[in-house]
Amino acid sequence: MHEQAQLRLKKDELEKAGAEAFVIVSMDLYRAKAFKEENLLLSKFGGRFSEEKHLVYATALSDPAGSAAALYGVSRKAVRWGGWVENQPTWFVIDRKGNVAYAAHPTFSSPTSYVDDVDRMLEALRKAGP
Amino acid sequence: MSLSGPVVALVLLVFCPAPDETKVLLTWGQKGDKPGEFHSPIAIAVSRKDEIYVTDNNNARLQKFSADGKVLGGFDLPLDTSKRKSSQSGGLAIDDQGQIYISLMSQHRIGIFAEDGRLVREWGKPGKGDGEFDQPGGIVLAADGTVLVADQGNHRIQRFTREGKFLQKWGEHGKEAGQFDGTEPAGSRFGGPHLLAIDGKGRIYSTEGVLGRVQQFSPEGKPLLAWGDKGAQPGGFGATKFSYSKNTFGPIGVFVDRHDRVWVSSLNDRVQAFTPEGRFLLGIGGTGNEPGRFARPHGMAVDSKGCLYVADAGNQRIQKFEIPVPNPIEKYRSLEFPPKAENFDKGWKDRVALEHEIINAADLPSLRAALKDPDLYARSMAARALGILSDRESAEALADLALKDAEHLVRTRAVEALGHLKMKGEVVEQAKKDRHGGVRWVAELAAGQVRSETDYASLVREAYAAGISRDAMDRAKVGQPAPDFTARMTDGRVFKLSDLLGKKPVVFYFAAFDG
Repeated sequence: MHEQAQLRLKKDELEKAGAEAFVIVSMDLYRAKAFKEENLLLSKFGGRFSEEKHLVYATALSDPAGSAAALYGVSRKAVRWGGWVENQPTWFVIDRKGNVAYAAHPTFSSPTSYVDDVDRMLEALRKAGP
Repeated sequence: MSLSGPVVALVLLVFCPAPDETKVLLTWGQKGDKPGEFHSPIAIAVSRKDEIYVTDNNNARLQKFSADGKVLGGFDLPLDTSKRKSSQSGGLAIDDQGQIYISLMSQHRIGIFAEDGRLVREWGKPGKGDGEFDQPGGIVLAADGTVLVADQGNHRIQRFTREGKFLQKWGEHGKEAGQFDGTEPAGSRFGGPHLLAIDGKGRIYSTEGVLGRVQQFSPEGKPLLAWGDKGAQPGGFGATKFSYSKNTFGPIGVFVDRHDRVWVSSLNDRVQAFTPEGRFLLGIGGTGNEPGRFARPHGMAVDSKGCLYVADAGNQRIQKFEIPVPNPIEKYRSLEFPPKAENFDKGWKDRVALEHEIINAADLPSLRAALKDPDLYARSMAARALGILSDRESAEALADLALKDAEHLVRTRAVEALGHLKMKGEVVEQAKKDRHGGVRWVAELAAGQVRSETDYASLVREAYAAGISRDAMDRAKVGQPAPDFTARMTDGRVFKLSDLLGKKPVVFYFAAFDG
């Protein structure tokens, strides 16, 4: 959710690049809606958007069979909590020609590494051109 | 390719019990030369019309039967010599047009016959060069239209076009991976490779009788793994002694069924099934002539109904078996978890492919049984699948797991399943107080789903039904075109990536659970 919150903070840059953003979750539609529409994880904190219900800026997509995630090589790759969970978190930038311009796993190496993750993705978006 | 020559002693008289669900349906044949009788039935194949073809080596003929053992016809094969009625054939395959491919072992060539016995074409001659043979054995037709032949005496596998043009070869005499049976003298056909098979992923399997080994190769011929020994344990191929060799013999026939189970016949009178990784699954046989026992079983084949036919060479008969349909959840349990670093890429792909297989198979009885599986991953997968499949009969069992299973992963999946079923709302409410946060979080969501009027499970089933090819996985590479996909937006509309490509840049983030 940190990555999504950071993306929301930088949404102006996305719009400037004329890009559209999506977040894909390997969950059924009900849970995807909850992810998008219910501020489940951060609403109890006192951050900038804590009073808002819809924290996720990107359009959420439900991919419950993990098919899109498998095509992109990220499905069921995260081993956590004693089991396979959902996708290995990964950013992709697709340029206007339809080619993959950037692919990167967030590092989660520090409590604020999501800031750099999103900045790197935006830099790749700029480099990919209008 | 027969190793059913003069037997001096069977040093192992082992019994490999068949599981309850394996049943002898029929046996037919006895020693003789009348139609329906045999003198060394070795290779067997089933046509698209479920006709059973058997090479009858010492009667120098091919016989054709119905699936219930009635003689439908057949034709004579070219004699090996004018002195004796014999046509030693090693391999048999039938293409989609009904053409019959036979490796004429002692004549060192491949013959392709029409259904009426007319020789359509042939290739090969004795020798070591490309396209030449030394006692060719197993023959299989690959999905890419090529023909693979086990060139036993040359200790190699050769690949041809269907017209007989040489394409590729691999293997040599030796004991290492990719070599063939260096424990026999070079040039001895008893070293192998004997028979061949191909699985659904195009991987090729060979047998080596003296080494007691099954090898698996990539579709291109790269050695991938090997298993087997001449032991007596379940999965062992035994050590049968013949007078003409100082060595003992193990596996001979190999066949892969539609479930990618690798069936191996061996001269300890067993027919045994393995996973493609070589894990023993089940065995049939033991020495004897009662139904269900064997004397030197060789070729195997399966018909469209999944029945297994075995050429029981020493008993001069064919045996037909009902064999269990594998429960995909069994395979799920056998997946390595967590996969080792070197297997990680294969590990997640196997898991995704198997999840699709399990849900699309919709084998409800097996999934219900798997809710009691000792393996926590099998239990959790079964719970998830039963929810997605909207199996209301499982509600009680899922409720029990949701509250009582010792593993939080299983409780999570059971609660999620109750949400899909829209049942046992009171159990879901209780699960909101689970000691594990993950279960509580999923219970919050499941509670909403129970109250919802929308059938979310049907949308999940729809997503699985679209399927995914294992070969299509992991296709996104920087600099390459973005693979297209579809998914649902939260308002229910279908999103298709290709509708946007070329119009604007797109950013997407594959999020984990909490993304």
